[in-house]
Amino acid sequence: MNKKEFETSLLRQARVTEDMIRCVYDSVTRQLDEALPMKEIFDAQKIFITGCGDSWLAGIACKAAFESITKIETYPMRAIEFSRHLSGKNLGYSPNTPMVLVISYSGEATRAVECAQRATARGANTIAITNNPNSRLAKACNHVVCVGLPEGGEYFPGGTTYNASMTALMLIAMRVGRARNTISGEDYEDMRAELLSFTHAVQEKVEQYDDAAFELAQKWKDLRCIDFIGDYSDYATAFFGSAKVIETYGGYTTYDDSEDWCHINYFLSQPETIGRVVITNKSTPSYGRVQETLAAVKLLESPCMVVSDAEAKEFPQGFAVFTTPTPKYFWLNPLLQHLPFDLVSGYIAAMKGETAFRDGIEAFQTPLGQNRLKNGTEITIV
Amino acid sequence: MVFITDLTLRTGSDAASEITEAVAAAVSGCGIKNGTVTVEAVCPAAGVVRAAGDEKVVYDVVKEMRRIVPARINFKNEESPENAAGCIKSTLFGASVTCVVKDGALSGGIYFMDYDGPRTCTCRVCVIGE
Repeated sequence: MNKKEFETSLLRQARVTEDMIRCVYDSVTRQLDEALPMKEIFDAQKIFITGCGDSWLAGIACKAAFESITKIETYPMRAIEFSRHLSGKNLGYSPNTPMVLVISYSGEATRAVECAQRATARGANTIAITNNPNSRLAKACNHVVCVGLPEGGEYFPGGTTYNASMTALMLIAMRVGRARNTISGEDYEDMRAELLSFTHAVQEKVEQYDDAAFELAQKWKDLRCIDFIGDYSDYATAFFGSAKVIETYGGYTTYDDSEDWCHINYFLSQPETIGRVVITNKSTPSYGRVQETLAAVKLLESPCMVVSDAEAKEFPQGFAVFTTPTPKYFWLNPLLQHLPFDLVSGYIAAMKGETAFRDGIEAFQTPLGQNRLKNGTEITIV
Repeated sequence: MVFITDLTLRTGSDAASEITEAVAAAVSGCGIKNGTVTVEAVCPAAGVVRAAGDEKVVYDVVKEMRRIVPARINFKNEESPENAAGCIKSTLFGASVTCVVKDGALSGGIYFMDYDGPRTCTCRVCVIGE
């Protein structure tokens, strides 16, 4: 097979990762002081991060960054849970608290707008993270942080936008930490520099990942299901990878953390027809449990891909290991560990002739289906 | 004769570091016996002060500085309350001191004050004399 015949959007996005993150870094940096005034930073007793799909996952991926840097309890929450189910007692019980970060690239996702309207109405401090400063979400929030991705870029299916959300969140965490003096000025500058240098280190490996991903995609394209395993921050990467399976080629997929996988997904039948993707890092407290999980995967004879900053020799033989650079700060790991599987899923889609989000297939293009994201019924529960 | 050198310090958080010996070493190393030495904090939100006495005196100085210029959240400088207060302390209490060198010796204690550490700071020493 000639790799060039299967080039995908996700590969093209991966190739400009560093440029796009730099773009977001510069844009967000310019807005930090205005979007996060000192008094409001000090008012925040809790932080919620909410959004739909990848936006919510960005919150899960960055919970560790927030809690490690700011020392403030941080709760990523699904948009539907935040907008409709969360008790109002959690919002506005003290001025400007909690700080609510609502993420939507377009700024038009109805449920995200609902979250913002509800939190703002109750007196929380709402900050929109979006690429559209004139969107409904931006108007519903107290402050806006525009991620500043260039117009007309290739962001579909989302890889770059996910990176943008995480980059913005991490920069906000650093700003909050610096203001509250939980990190020194020197640490602040070092963390900001490390975000860029880690991105550069990953970018340098993209072509290497691409070759390995193309090879793996040829072996995995006919697998019955892809099963993702990741804990805590890595759970976001696992879930994101699972979403790419569906978005890029409409495949069957599952995801879980390493503990519950041992209790549940371990028992999936015909394990040799299920690809397992495990995301882990040598600094994670559950690394030992993940190793036990991998041993079980080996016994089941499932094809397995591992994304980790640990060396390949730490994992069972025969697994496809994608080694990522080790960042100076552990919470940076999830920023780009999704890239290797993005490439795999893109190639599988191209090899199967599938279009992203079933584009061109009539059953998926009904008005009701097309309106499902931005035009759903809006309700604000105060 | 003029002699200039830099000292590099690893500081604590809002803390005083005694640098008397390091400054004295710089003075004796340059060969100037009589004149003045100026010691200056190069980084922002830091300063250099003279304090005669033991650790208790320095403790009181640091504490009193905090009382006079407490970290607050309503400064125009919004980097952090400590940084904002530190920049003011640096201005009010001085970013540098000048001491007399007589027969190659200094009198009193010299302290580097970092109001926004911990970090690595540079302290510049300039000796003028003969």
